[in-house]
Amino acid sequence: MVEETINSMDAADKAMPAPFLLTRIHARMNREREQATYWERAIGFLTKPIVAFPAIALVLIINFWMMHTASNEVADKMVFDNQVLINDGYSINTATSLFDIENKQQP
Amino acid sequence: MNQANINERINNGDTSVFTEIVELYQGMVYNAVLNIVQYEPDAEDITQEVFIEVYEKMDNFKGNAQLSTWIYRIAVNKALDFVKTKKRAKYGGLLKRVFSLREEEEPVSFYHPGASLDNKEKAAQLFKALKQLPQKQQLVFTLHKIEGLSYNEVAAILQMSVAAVEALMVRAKTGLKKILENYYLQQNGKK
Repeated sequence: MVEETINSMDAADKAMPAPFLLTRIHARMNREREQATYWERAIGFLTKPIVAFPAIALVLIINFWMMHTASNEVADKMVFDNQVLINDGYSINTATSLFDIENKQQP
Repeated sequence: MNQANINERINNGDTSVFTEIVELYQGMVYNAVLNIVQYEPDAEDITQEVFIEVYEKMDNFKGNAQLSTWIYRIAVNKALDFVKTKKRAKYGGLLKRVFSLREEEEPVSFYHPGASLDNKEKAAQLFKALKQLPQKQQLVFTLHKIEGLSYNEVAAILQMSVAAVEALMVRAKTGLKKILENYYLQQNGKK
């Protein structure tokens, strides 16, 4: 039985691919070529100086604008934090409560 | 059309020879690929890829080797690459299952379309057992025993010595015998 199994393909016919293989190969080659040209065209467009330089400039402008905005925010926050520290350090109470109004100290 | 004629035309840069190459070698390529990947739709796909590569690399063919050997080599390499990729995809299937992507249905047994009716089941068992052999043994057995190539041709395709091919063939047969004996013992035990 084992030998028969090992030899089971001895008299087998050759399998054949479905008809019109050549047509399918040509169709596939055309498809792949079209796909390649699509990407080539996209890359070609993006690497054109008229597109590439403004794109780089735009990225740089956005980058500088973001940095500028971020540094302003940091500066504002530092001023506020310093004010709070001074107030706390010298016990300057800027808040006026109902207690202060009702119990005004006479000079 | 003979081999020398094709070689000459390729060397002369005649691309119209491609049509004749496809007509002449489609059966050979398809069979070699089918016996390795053991699934007809995949074999069809890879056969197309093989001929596309033949077309693209036709200029590189120097005629040092036989054209059939060169095409066989491309076919075997493509089929092996495919099997490797499929195995990897199978083991990496967790992600697919998590995202419930549809996995391709894989046939349980491979019934070779050329096998006679009496031998269909046995041939299916043979292909199942072949899958369990180390890759080189599997290749040598497929090319020599199933494809009917000589040891010299197999050696040229796989780029190894004839002695190595012979040794691999002996080991492949021994391995197959062991696998099939176990299988039939289990089958008899079930009955």
